[in-house]
Amino acid sequence: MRLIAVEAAGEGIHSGKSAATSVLGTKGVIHGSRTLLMQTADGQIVEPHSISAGLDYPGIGPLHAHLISSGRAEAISITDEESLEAALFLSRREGIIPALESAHALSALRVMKYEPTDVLVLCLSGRGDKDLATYMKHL
Amino acid sequence: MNRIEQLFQRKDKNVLNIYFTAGYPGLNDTEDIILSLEKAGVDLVEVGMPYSDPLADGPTIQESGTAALENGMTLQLLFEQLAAVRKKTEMPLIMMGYFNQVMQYGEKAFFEKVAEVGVDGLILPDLPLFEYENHYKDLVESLGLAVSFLITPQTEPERIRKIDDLTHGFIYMVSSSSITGAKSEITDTQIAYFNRINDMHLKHKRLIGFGISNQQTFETACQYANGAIIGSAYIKALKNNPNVAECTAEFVKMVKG
Repeated sequence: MRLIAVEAAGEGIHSGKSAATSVLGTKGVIHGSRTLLMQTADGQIVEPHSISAGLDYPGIGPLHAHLISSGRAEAISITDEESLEAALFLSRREGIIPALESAHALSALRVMKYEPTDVLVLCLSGRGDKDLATYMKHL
Repeated sequence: MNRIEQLFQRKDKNVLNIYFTAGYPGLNDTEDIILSLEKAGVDLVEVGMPYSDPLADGPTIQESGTAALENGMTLQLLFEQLAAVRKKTEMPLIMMGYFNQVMQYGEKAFFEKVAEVGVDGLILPDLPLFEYENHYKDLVESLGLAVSFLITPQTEPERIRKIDDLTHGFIYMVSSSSITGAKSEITDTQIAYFNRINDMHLKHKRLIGFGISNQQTFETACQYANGAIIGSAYIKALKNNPNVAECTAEFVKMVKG
């Protein structure tokens, strides 16, 4: 089984406005966890950016950091714009309004390659009604 | 025995520990602040290593940390400043900060540098006891450093005993379940907590911090512990009057009455 973690690239991984912690982060301690986090050499936390509030965080959960660092999970990153497109696509097609966080995972479907026999499980972790203000701005 | 332990041997009442954020108000005020605090009769100085995510701190200390970082404060510069100050004073000095700063400097290198520049103790509120005991205690003790752990009204008695065993110097009693910052008074609930801890007859001296800001709260804290720690109120005073010598003399006089 492949595990795929989708991170928030924000406006692009190297744009200075990103939250792609597995790429931009190094080992450190934040909010009581030893994990990967975005920081300076002096250990000061770097301000992250993502259009989704839940991903706009300088670290990731320690379990995710471990799965990615150990190679068990693959990490890919999706920009603000790509996640918005995916969210609006699902809303229009299925009437399901995903949270912006989950929309990053949805968008990953477009960039990944699959075999016709592959079984896919996608975690649509949250509801998009909390993100309507953002969606309406981008309609 | 280091300077903090010596202090508590000769003084066990009304011990005044003042916290300041290194690099605030000015990048190079560290020496002036420590020497002014000594002149004003402070017993112990806690030097804050400014941090971007100061979990235990309220808005006053947060703002001073942000300003200090903008001023250009780094751990390396702070160590240089403290090494220079140590040549001029025997004041017990404690560095306070967060564990990520230690980790990025390199834990071993950090503890060794702290001892080398003549700092006596450490307060790292987010360093878990387990990690300390299993990874750092032997090194820290061999360097003669005194680490103070925090207890709060929610700390279980078993953990308080453990902290009493691991502490060198003093135990930091957080006065209430909140962040740092001046409060107007000490409540009955807090006093019940102070009494409960007194009744445990711990081996170590205790200083009460968080919410201590003036003569009244300092005196109350001193009734229930060996002294108190003041941070935010002093930083506010420095903000209002960046003339370090003058501000410090007035502030300490106000607290001690």
